[in-house]
Amino acid sequence: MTRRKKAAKRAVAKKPAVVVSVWKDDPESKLGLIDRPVPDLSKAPLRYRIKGAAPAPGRYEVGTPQFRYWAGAEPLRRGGDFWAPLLGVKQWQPGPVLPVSLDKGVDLNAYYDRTELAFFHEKVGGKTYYSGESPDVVCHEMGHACLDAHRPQLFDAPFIEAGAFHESFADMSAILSALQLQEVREAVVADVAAYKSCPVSRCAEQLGAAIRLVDRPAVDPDCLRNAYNAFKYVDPQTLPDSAPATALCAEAHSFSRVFTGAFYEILAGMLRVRSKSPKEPDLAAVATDFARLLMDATAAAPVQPNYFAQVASHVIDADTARFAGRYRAVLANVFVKRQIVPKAAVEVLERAPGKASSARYRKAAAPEPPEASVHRVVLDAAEFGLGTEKVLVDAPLERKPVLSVGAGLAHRHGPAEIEHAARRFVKMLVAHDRIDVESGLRHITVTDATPRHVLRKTHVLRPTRQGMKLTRRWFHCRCGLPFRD
Amino acid sequence: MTARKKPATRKARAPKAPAGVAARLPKLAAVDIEAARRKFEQGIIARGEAGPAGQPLPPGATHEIAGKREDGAPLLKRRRFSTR
Repeated sequence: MTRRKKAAKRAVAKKPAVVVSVWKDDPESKLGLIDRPVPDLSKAPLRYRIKGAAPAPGRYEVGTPQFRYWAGAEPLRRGGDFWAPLLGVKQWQPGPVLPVSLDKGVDLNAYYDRTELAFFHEKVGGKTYYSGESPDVVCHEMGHACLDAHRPQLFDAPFIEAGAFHESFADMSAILSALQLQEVREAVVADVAAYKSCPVSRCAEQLGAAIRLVDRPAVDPDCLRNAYNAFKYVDPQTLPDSAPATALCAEAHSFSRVFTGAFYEILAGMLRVRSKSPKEPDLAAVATDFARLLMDATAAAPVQPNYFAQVASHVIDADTARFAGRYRAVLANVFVKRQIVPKAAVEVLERAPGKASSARYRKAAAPEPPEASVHRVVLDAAEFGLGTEKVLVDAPLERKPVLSVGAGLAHRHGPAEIEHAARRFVKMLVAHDRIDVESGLRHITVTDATPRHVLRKTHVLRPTRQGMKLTRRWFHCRCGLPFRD
Repeated sequence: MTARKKPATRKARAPKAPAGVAARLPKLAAVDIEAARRKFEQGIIARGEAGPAGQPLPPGATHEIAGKREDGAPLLKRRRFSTR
């Protein structure tokens, strides 16, 4: 070997590895390994910090801690890079850097808790399973963090459908993040277009296999949850609290499969809209298109008990506004077929398909912040010495533009709390002699001769069929004179 | 000489664009919202997905019991989302 060749060989040996070996999809998806660029976890805006020392990048043996480190790091970066431009956020909900524990301890699970993403290991049937090794599980938890950055009001919303949608979004994140790899798209495009079960529809095959060994009915037969399913919406109020994976129940992961199933069927339909013989670039395009619709819809949909219908209907409207209704037929058909959106709500589109693409319609359908809502509280007038009738107090639930009824009703503002606040408010008005209980007039003429005690009355009780409605007449300013509201 | 005013003409109003699909969803009553919250919370408790506040959550739990409501029901607060 010449001196020059030896020098070249030494240079190659010293050069840091530019690729890492990771799973294309879940370890048990059979799609195998792939070389990927070394992920930069400090890349803004969605930065990560994996706890513990990072091993030198390289192609490590499957089963080694070094392999698991990069097998977890790469999908974090890939998923973050997919969502970041769509989310339009500058950081995670907890802060600029999201800590990650790749092995937090013993469990067959993983979580996102607004302080970190945490993954676990557990030995089952002689084999140790690491949840942080699966891109599906990693991108599921990362999906929770992304949605939390985008729509933090959902985190603690006390509704089954809000929690279930969070889980569905996380599974959709796993699928959409997997589709960011060209090799994965090439492997599954035919199955997705034909609307069949495939490696990307099957979420967390390995974790599902481990759980199946200890609790067979808890998971699908081929993975943790398969997006290729036939579940239709039923009011979760009518469902049992728990059920085996073969049936729906009111538990968030179980119920999430309704929306995820619709999503996967829609993805197949969107692909066929795009091309009669779709190829992998078409799959990349529809994955991004659907993610954009999800972003639009979740930004606009009010957080209410019927959150699935809210998001789904906003997805249809977002498609009208963003893509001139290109995917409308697919979206409407699947959401109606799965009973997520009532047929009556989309009939207007069917009656006037031409108009529904017009600029005016697109403007009308453009997602807007949800409107504020009013919660009527009925109190006994006798409680306040105001007579024997009922006092009606209309309490606005939400004033912030992107919050809504349901978010406003989150734990701190439940109806009981609203009633309590209304009662205290009326008591305060009575104590300060602010209520006009005699005139019943919304407006009165104020002159220099108007007595001061009349000016003090900021509210008036006005007779209605249901009772005496408490109505604000004006606000007081500090000068002692009122001004109209 | 004063300029003659043009007779006021009323512009023909364009027909209103149909509202989006989201605007056509049935409205929920406050009692429905309250019932949904109760069902959600009952399910969390029934499945053992809530633990005491201020302590590490047991595996599988997602909520902590932050207190009690006026009606005696536990006040739940989400701590995390989990994979299953």
